[in-house]
Amino acid sequence: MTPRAVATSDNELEWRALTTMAQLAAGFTLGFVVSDLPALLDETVARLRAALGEDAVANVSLAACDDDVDLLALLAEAARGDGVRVVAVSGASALLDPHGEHPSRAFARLNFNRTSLAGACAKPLVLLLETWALRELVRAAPDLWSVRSGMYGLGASAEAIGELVARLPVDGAADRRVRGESRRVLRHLVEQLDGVDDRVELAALLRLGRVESLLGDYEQAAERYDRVLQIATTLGDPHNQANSLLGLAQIARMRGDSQQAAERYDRALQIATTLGDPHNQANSLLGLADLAGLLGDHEQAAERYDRALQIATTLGDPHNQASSLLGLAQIARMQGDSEQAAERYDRALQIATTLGDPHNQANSLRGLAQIARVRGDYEQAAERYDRALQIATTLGDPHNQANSLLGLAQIALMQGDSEQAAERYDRALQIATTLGDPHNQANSLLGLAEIARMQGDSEQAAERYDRVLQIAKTLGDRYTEALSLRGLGRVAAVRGEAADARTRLARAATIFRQLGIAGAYDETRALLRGLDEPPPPA
Amino acid sequence: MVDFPCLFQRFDPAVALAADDPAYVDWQSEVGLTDIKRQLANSVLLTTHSYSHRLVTGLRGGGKTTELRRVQRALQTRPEGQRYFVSFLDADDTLDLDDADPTDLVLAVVGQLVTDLKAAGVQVKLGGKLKGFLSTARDILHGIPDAGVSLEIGDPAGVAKLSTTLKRQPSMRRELRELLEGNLTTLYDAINDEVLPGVRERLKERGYVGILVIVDQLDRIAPEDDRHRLVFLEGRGKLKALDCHVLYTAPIEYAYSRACPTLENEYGEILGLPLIPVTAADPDVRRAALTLTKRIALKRIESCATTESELFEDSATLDELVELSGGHVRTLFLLVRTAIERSGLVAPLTARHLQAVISGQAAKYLDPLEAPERAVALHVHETRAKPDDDELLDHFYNLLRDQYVFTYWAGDERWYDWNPLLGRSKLAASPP
Repeated sequence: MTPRAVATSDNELEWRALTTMAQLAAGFTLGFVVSDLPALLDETVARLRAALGEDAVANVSLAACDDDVDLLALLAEAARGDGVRVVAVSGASALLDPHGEHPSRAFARLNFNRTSLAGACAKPLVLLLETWALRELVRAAPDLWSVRSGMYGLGASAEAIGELVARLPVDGAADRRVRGESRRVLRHLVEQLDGVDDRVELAALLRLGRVESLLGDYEQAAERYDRVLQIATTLGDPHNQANSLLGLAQIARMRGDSQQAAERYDRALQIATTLGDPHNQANSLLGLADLAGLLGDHEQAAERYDRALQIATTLGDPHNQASSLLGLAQIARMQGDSEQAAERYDRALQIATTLGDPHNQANSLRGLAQIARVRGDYEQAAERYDRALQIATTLGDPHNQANSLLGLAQIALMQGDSEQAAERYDRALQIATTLGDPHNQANSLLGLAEIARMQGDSEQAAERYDRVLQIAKTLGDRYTEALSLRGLGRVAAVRGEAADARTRLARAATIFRQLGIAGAYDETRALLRGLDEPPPPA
Repeated sequence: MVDFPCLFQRFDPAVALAADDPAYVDWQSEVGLTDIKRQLANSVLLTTHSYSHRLVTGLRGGGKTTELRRVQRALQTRPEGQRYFVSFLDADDTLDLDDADPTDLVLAVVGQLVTDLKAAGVQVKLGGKLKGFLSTARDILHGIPDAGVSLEIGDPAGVAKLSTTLKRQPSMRRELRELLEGNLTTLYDAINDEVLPGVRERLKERGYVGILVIVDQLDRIAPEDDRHRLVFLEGRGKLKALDCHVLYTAPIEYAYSRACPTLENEYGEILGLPLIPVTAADPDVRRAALTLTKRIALKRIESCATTESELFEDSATLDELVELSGGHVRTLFLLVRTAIERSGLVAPLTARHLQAVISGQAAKYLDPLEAPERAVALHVHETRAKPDDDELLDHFYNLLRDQYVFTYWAGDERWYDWNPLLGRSKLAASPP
């Protein structure tokens, strides 16, 4: 493939124009140098120095500055030297919030004190910005934009863009800010690449879908994966067809559409098997195993997790090894085998820690917290949920923030602090509602229903259990269905509606038995027996 | 011989003309518009029994500061017995416009007025109320660690110091504001009852009949945190509290938003400086506007002892730049300056070179816009009107603020259009 230029500008001409500006301008003048490639921005400083002399170019980096930095003092200091003809400011994008949610105070100060800026730096000032940051700057600093005296755009080949796409941090230890930046860059590149280079566009779209999915923007992510599927089908690229199907399947699963998720995982598995692509085979199997576990088919789930674990071990793919172990641990926990579950969670945690994979670290910690909770060690459980919550918050992973909050709420409830529990369930419910994540909506509502029931508010409790029951039925989530039925049975019993209570508890017990969840089954049976016992003497 | 360094300075888009600069072109009356300078001056001259507190707006880079400076000079240089003492506040120098607050603004206005009066040798005598206010302010500052300023009770410039402190110390700003808030009425009373009557008497002796404060650059106030509303609507009581004429600049995206009727109810008609109507439907107006815009460029070129034919290969080249500026002076200057810096400093600039500059600038100019904004810009160009939909309107006001959309009027006609540079970008070739 011959890479085509994404931007057609002649970079040499842009650098010459910039140099001329630095030579002609008397006093403060503001120029913007913009590029998709950070390397070209760095090269701009070198080019200016080569043309004007080493000492003629002062370079101020704001990358390591926080919001409290005195930008004016920094710039004044840089501009002070007699020989300095131009001040080049790099890393200004570090002062912007890539998510566009919190305009930076520091940048705003730079913006709205343009008179002060001119006072501090009576020389040409050049802001070196990534293209996404220019877009943000126009919004965050309209006045700075309006007073610009020159714009210099540095183009890059599709090949160089492709390398940039591959390097952008999306998974792993990338925190929310880094992911936000990657998202901004990728969104811009995808627009630029449209109709220019299908393969690089496809790679950028896949990465964009992934980062948007991780940041909880499922709708956008699904659009990206759909587009990848279209392009990959047109290009006859089955590997990326499978990749997009995996992304779409994961989103369907998060949105509670198990049927669509299963269909897509199946298609991805077929393609991966035909291609002899073990990595995507393992990914598909993991997704299908998760679905089986969700639908209560623990045997099938365990079988798929086992297959995925074997493939991952053969490939030496520690990420999927950890993911498989997590799945197997969860099955063991559901089946009441806390010891085996703990052992698997521990192994997964070790692998994730060695790998620097905070996502699976958080998942393992939550699993270990659940086991600690079952064992009655609430302190340890809370500490682990807290660590998982911190990781999810740093990563900007709202789905797992909600999961951790649910765990913490449960601990608070068990410790009798229903106020704190309600507050956490509420936060989890808000996140889940924003994400369109019905599983965690159901889990949060279930917790809130329990609190209402314990506080004697039968009406509110029944209303919430009912909502959970409806969601669980839609999702085909039998475990949650049984939990909501049990709750409704208990409310009916308190209201003296014994027949209704018996029906609901019996249905719940049946489901628990079918799922093989012994503890919950026994507890529900005990409730049923309690209905038949005479009330204690007054 | 083309003097490129001189031209580069004269076409600096960020520098407003001084009030007496011969490069000024008085264009408004020539295209049938009421001259904003006359409107602004009349708003002061005709308000004889009260005080005028007006808002003036216009697109950034459209020449507001130049017009305001000429209003200042016109009122200051009237014959003795008719002239006004005009204090000019560059708000950007005194206020943190990202965190602007009516309290800070009033302090800055008073501080500037006192400073200018002292600079002009007009004695500002302190009465008991102002001394009391400064004494309270001094106590407040004493109570704040690291305030870094000391007020002298006998010095009226203390108000200016207080204003500067508010700008320089963002960390203590909120606390200081809250503490001062309760004493602002004392400050207004002190200025209105004790300071201004005496100052007016002393100014009268010098032939002045009144006082005007022009507050420029408030159009740079950040829109975040509903700050426009906070300053101009919620703060209207404070902004109108002083017994002297005050002209405040206001952000165009706010002045022409849904808040417009309420603002006009409070401040009277908002005085607006439109762009030179080079996109007028009336061919006569359009022709006159193009000629005037070109005259602005020619005066700058000539001020560098250069002729049009020395700088441009043929006159159609400059005509094209004029048309592409949309009558927005800053855009015109940006284009000329960009053409110069990309020329290798070889004159005359050829049509081919200019075409390359225009395409490059158009592409870069379009780049920051995302799809919905592009659609709104196109809609404005096609309809010459604002969109009706609320969500699109938000994009529209952002585009207006960022000079992607221009506002015009001529005679009774009022219209909007995109920045003509967008017409040379791929947006025109392949609309979203």
